[in-house]
Amino acid sequence: MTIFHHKKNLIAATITTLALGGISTLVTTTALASSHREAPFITSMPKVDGSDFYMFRSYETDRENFITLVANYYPLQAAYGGPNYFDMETDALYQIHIDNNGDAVEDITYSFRFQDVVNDLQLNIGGEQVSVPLKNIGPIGPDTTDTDNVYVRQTYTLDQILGDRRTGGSTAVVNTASGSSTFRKPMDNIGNKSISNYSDYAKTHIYNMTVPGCATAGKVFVGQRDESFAVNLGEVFDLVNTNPLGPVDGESNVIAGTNVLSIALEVPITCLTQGSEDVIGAWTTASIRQASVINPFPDADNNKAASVKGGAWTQVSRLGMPLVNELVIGLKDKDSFNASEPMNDGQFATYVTNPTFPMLLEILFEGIAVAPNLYPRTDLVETFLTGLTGLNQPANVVGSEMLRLNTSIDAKPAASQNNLGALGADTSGFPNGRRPGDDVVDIVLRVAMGALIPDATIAPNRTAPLTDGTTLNATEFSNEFPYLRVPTAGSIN
Amino acid sequence: MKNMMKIKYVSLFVASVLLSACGGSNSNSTTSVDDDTTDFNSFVVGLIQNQTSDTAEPVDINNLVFEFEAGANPGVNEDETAFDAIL
Repeated sequence: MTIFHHKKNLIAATITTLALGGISTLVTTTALASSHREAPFITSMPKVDGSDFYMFRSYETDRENFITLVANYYPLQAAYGGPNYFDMETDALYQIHIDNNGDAVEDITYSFRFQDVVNDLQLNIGGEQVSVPLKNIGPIGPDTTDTDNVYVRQTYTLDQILGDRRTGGSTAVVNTASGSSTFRKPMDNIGNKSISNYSDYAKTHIYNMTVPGCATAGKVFVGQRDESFAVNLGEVFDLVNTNPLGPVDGESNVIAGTNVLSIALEVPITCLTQGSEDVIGAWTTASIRQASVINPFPDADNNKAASVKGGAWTQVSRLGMPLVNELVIGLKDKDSFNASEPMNDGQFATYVTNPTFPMLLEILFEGIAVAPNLYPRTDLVETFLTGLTGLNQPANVVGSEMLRLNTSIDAKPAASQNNLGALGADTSGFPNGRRPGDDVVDIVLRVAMGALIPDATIAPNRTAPLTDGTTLNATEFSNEFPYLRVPTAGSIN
Repeated sequence: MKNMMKIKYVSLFVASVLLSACGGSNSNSTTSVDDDTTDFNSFVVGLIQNQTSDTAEPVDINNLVFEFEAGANPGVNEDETAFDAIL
């Protein structure tokens, strides 16, 4: 089956009227899948592979004055992956950065570190105390502290850093109820026999948190969730081996049923913005120690781990706007992008001004698909590097890639959200931030071929209702923090 | 003798980091005495022992030429004791 095989349909296809509400400059993005295993180096480190990043005005009842931020890591988990399942990396720094004055430099960073808590469960076997081989040897929950049957679980600490991510002032975020600076991560969804009501169990790990300098408490949750992205991944990477003009739900979401690890925060708007600037930019990074030495003789009894790691924190994953490193950045520079900071994004500018993906579609569907003839792609520059004038562009913006949100635009309840975001006249959604129900794949497919370029002679395919054949919307997700779905269970019984 | 060699290389590494922090180049500064190469094993040990902090900047390695057969046993890439100091 070929793309655009009904040229007449393509030419005549209608697209939801672009009603970007006061936006004077049009926008487009290019890409097809989010950020799962997108760069060569990160494929060797799935625990620190950032796969999706969300930022939106909370639409949970009575939480309209908060911003929710969710960073997904460790994608494509097969739920049955015991006995170790999917812990966060203890020798890593997971961070969410906020730029609240448009200068491409982080002003606030939320920094997470994880710790293993080991309870060496042993059984008396013929008079000998012997350690068990499993992660749990009995039920877990329903309360947070019901972990006596667990061999190893994880806790985490969360710091707020003001200023430079390395040298800025760092203060611990604490549990509002207990005052503790240590939070518990729920065990993964092993199955019903281990955790009888995973949804309720996981909810006990949602904490009210006291953020330094912030008068109103926020929320934090870190734990396993169901994969929140939807894409016809196999066919897309098989030279777009699908019909992009078919039904929006006509293909299989091949990553459905896999799990991710989500880091979720809900912070009062006033604690993220600065002065009169309503627009904030954000991105997530993961860093590991620069050096690692494998221990040829691990020895748990003497606290000798399987490897020794040290050196400075070194960034290996970066994610702001979805899909950028996946399909905008050239293959040779993907590792470099993951290690980079927004302030230095000029080095990647050509990938934005002269994107290859639309031309690849033209090549793959010769004579039918036509890449927009607009260079430099100023629409892409606004989307990726500055935000859109009149929507989510900071007043004193310095060009840099990140997810940008105009916090003054009210959230919409799930039932009222348009999963095409701004393309569907819903400016509370992508690319003004990103909500779980925004179908960024379909959005970007359409705009990649010029949906937001007004001149049809420049963008002949601008009205094509392109789709990867999978879709999603806000009603598939929870209406409450952390919004993402309960993870798929490892056991089906 | 091996320990003395390690101390020498680690000291060179620390010096290079200090140079870098002062605005100097770290290019080829963690080198062995005889050439412009950097002993990989000693470099790694130095990173772990001296650069493990939350505020440190990663060391730029693009201008370093690593030597994997130098150090305590030149010409031998089988030094099983190379990382004993950190294991």
